[in-house]
Amino acid sequence: MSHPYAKLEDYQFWPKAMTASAPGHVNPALPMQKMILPGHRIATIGSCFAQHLARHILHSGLDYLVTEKAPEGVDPVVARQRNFGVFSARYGNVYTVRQAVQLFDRAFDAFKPADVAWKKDEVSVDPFRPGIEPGGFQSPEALAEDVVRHLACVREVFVQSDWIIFTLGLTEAWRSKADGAIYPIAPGVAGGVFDPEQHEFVNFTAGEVAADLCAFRDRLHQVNPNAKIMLTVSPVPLAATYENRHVWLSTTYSKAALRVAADEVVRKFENVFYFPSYEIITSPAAGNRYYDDDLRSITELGVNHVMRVFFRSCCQFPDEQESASVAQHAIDGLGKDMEIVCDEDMIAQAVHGNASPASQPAVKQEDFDEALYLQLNPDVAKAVEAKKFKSGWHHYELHGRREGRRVG
Amino acid sequence: MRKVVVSSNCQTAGICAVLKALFPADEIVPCPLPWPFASDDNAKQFALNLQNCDVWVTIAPAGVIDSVMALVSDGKPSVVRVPAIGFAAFHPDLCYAQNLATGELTAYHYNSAIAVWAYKHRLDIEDTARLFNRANFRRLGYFDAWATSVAYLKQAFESYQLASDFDRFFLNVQRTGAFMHSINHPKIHVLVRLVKIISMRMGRDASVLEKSVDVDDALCGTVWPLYPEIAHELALGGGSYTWKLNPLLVFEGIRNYLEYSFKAYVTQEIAPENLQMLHREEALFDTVLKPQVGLPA
Repeated sequence: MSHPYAKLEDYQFWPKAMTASAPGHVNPALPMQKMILPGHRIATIGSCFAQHLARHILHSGLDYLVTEKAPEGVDPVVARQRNFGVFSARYGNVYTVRQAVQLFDRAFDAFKPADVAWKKDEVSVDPFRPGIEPGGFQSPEALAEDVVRHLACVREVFVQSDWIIFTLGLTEAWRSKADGAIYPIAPGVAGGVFDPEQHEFVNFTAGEVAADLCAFRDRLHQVNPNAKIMLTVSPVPLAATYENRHVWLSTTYSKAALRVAADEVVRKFENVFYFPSYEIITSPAAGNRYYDDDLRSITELGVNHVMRVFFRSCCQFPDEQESASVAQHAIDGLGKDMEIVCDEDMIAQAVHGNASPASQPAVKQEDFDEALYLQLNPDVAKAVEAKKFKSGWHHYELHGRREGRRVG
Repeated sequence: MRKVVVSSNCQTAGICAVLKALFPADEIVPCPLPWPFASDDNAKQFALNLQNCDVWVTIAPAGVIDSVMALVSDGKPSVVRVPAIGFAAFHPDLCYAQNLATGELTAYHYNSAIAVWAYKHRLDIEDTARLFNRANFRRLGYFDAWATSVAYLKQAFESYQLASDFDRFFLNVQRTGAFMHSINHPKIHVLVRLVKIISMRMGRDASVLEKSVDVDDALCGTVWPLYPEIAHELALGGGSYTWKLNPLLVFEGIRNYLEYSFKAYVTQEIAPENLQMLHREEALFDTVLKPQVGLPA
């Protein structure tokens, strides 16, 4: 009897797609094409989880686009501390889509926020990337110069990229009442002063996020018609919510809204795709082992699973030659090993307990009583008789001493 | 009080311990199956263990059960069959090997397939150690053993008339990560799950599946490492290169293990050309590894 599900693919059925896969091999990206090709320039932007993606792409052999590079001569460690190379340009974490749209507009002189510098102790901090320079900027002028340089690099990211991988992180944000400028971190936390007259909390709806994503896509398309966008949702829960409710409720709302918005936009545009980072990490098949002990940070195991799926499903590498048939051939014999029953020593050890025999000092060959050893260890005597060992001493030297065999 | 005789392989002790926890009023008697029987007398001797026994929990294949039961004259027991748990996906490099000159298995049964291949080709420890890497594991199929291992285990359940219990067993244990100490030594919680399932054929109801059972792990004396590259591929923690061949025979690192293995082969007087890995396609190892060590293909 025919029905609509009769000819669907394995990945469309829970048992085959989820429970039958090897650990670490559940692949919700199916049936994605390998669209990221050798030579494609890839940029990353988004929340803190995007840093994982950036790090792995950087080391993968793919062409990771970095337009804002550390000045020559700067030690690589220091450069990293100053957030060079963490993302394609030094914009820091971009948690909300509205923030990304505004970053784009700032890069192309379409938006000039009123807020340009925050004070933090004796230094100046960029309100839109407050942690970018660990020691802060020495003056508002130095900050302004850096912002000009930075936005020029941001422009190049949008113009040069073949792919922008955008990790959607949050719906909650703080914004300026004056001009709607979105801050990545609430004023007062990493600089500046929180003023309820100037700053307000906002929690974007799924519709607002979708509209912002469309706006971002349209802007990008205008300056770089061939660029494609890969959306993904960060699996990292909110560190805190300003909503008067449990942080877990706010987390589930936020991720759901981002996911809905992403889905709507992917369905709408041919050059926007979705990669399931969130789904891989939070999947029941992962059994929660992709979250660290704080239940928030993502473990390296989880990041590796995400990247394994990303590279295998989305990217084509020039040296890709893996042959599944060869691999299958290699393991055909594995089942036959199971037919070999454990040797008697193992059975005896298992039945009579696993307690370690008392460690004993080594016996020298001249003090070793061959006959007594074989008498005390009849299994060894049998093995010697079967010519598995040249002698009891031979066995003792090889195994017996470490096994704690009785010698007398 | 029933008398329950348990005849499995090295999993006998664990099965007994769990049965004792689930049926505290019963007498649980471990009696590993010395299969194949060396002689008819040997079989008769074994059958004596089953005289006046109520239940025989056994790993024995169907034909063996019939022949043994025919030798039991008084009070034949009811038979509950239990498969041996084998699963190679965590330890695909573990292999058996034999001395072609004698036909005997190596003195210590577990071997590294790469080490065996390397000894056969007279590689030194350094060159061999370098062969333990992700690229080689991939090409040797070490990352692709999951489906084969699941299929093997499923087949075992089916041949022991436990097909309907396979999902209840496997889906539970696979959630626990690397659930094997070696290819045929399950961790104790695996045996707990298995015995809970067969206990439902011995009088317990389904609530037994929720019962907490704490027993010692009789098989943790031998632990083949989950190589880090394989742990990474299976997204599991606990990857290492620490071989625990027995509680007093532990090797940290590939080189130390190789030094022991090569020395053991020499001590057993196994000529390199006589060491043969079992159940492996040696030609594949030749294809993958020979070019890396300067040997002609």
